[in-house]
Amino acid sequence: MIQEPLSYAASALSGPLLLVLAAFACLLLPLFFRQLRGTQGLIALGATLVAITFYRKAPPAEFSFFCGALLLSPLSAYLWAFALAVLALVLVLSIARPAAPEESQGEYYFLLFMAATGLMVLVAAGDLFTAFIALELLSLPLYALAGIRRSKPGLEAAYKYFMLGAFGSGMTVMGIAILNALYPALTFTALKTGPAQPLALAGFLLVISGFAFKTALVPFHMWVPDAYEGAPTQVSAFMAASVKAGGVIVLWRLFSLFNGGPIHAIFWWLAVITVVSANFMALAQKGLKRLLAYSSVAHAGYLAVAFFGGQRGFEAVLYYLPVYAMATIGAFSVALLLEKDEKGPLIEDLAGLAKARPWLAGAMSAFMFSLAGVPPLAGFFAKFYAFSGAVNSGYTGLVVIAVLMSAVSIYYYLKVTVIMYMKPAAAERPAEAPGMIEAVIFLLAAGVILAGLFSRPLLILAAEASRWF
Amino acid sequence: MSAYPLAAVSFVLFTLAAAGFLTCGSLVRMLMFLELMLNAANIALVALGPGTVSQAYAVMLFAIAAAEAGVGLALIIALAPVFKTLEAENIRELKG
Repeated sequence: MIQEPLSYAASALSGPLLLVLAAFACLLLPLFFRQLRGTQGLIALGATLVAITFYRKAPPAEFSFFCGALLLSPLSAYLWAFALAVLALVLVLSIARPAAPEESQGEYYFLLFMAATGLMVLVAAGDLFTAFIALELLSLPLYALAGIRRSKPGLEAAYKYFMLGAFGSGMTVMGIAILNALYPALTFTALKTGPAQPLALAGFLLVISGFAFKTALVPFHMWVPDAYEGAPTQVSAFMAASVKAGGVIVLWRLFSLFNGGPIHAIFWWLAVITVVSANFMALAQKGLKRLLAYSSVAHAGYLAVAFFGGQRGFEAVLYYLPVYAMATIGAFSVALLLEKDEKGPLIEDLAGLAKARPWLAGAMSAFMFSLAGVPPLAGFFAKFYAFSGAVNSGYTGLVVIAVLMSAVSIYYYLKVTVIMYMKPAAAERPAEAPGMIEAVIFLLAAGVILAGLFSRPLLILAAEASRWF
Repeated sequence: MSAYPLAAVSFVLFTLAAAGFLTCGSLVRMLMFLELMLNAANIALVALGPGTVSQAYAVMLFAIAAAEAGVGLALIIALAPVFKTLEAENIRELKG
């Protein structure tokens, strides 16, 4: 009986441990062996692909380790596989077009691996303090990654992200200190059974606002547009897909501690404000990366709406995260392919893409329509499940607002497509041979389309994982 | 000594630090206020928390605060020669 959890833990934990090992390999090996310089990306990609194979088989039950600090279950296996897949895609993008200058390639992969390890611990964290440490492990490398080029836009993005992110961490840790005084332990199970005092409410508010900073819910979203625009595009793609996933999982764990009450009312307001303001602010954007940043804020709002569906809502969240990640990483890859300076292309720069590179334009429209939620793409089903759970629980008003704002969002997603197809190019585009970035784009476009047409397999996986919450 | 005066110190310190962070414009000062916020939380952890676990948390928090200060200072050092200023309002390359 004892044997089984231990042997499972050994195989499951070797995933993050392998990442840590690979991180140090990328950082140190090229320093000692000259001929390994320039191969860090391949070492990194190989290690990630090996790590993914550890999660083909989900564990039979939930095992908790270190006094409940770490929970290994089918849920964590699902989310770890997701985190590693995101990491692998970002690694391919970084190999195809290096984000860091030649001399800091090793540091780049080291920081990326540390952030991915932080994400893996964050989604498996069983207590609040572990979640906080994992959150720091996820964010601190990202602050540095945003500014790794040491150029003006990158450094400004990094400092804004750092200041607001660290402010959020300060609030989280103060909330944790308050909750630590009121509850016997900080595990999520212990927090559920405790008394609901006014001071505890203040503690929860601080913790929730700290995590809302990372998930980018309005009014804690100020850093998002600048950070996404200034950071290297590969890093922006990683931030959009991974930090949001980690924050959403912890917010859901906090949300599900309560049955109604003031905390749910706060989440209701956060969801409404986020969905409304993010979509309206996105309308006026000119830069493609900035548009994607506001779209990422809006999607955090839709995810918060899904919370109100209870267990079915969580199932929808688990389906939503990979679907959103595919579309947004794909769109960032297109931005990466077209960018000439560090701030990424303007939406205007997409003009004439349909003539010059029809397949690329087709893939980009698939991403845009999926983000907008147009059937039969995966984004439609993700939104449908997210909203239907909330309707079933009686939050019709909230869902009506979310659907209306989702209709507003179609305007700016469609604008991108219209410019690609209707507007002639300002200048002749030089023909380029397709490379690895195109491979990633077409893989993700196929994923977005197939996960929509055949949503069953992914949905079954998500439902299976959500039962182990 | 009762824990409550210490808790009051921690809450006041946290509020002052948060207010200072939001109102001051210099990056170095913002970093200092951030460290103050973490230290205020640390006082609350040790003063109010039950048992030895809270003290273990506090020690881990030292390490995190140090890592944060390290990354923050590194960013500021990288930023200073590029922008030639450390006032937040003068660092405006991206449209906000």
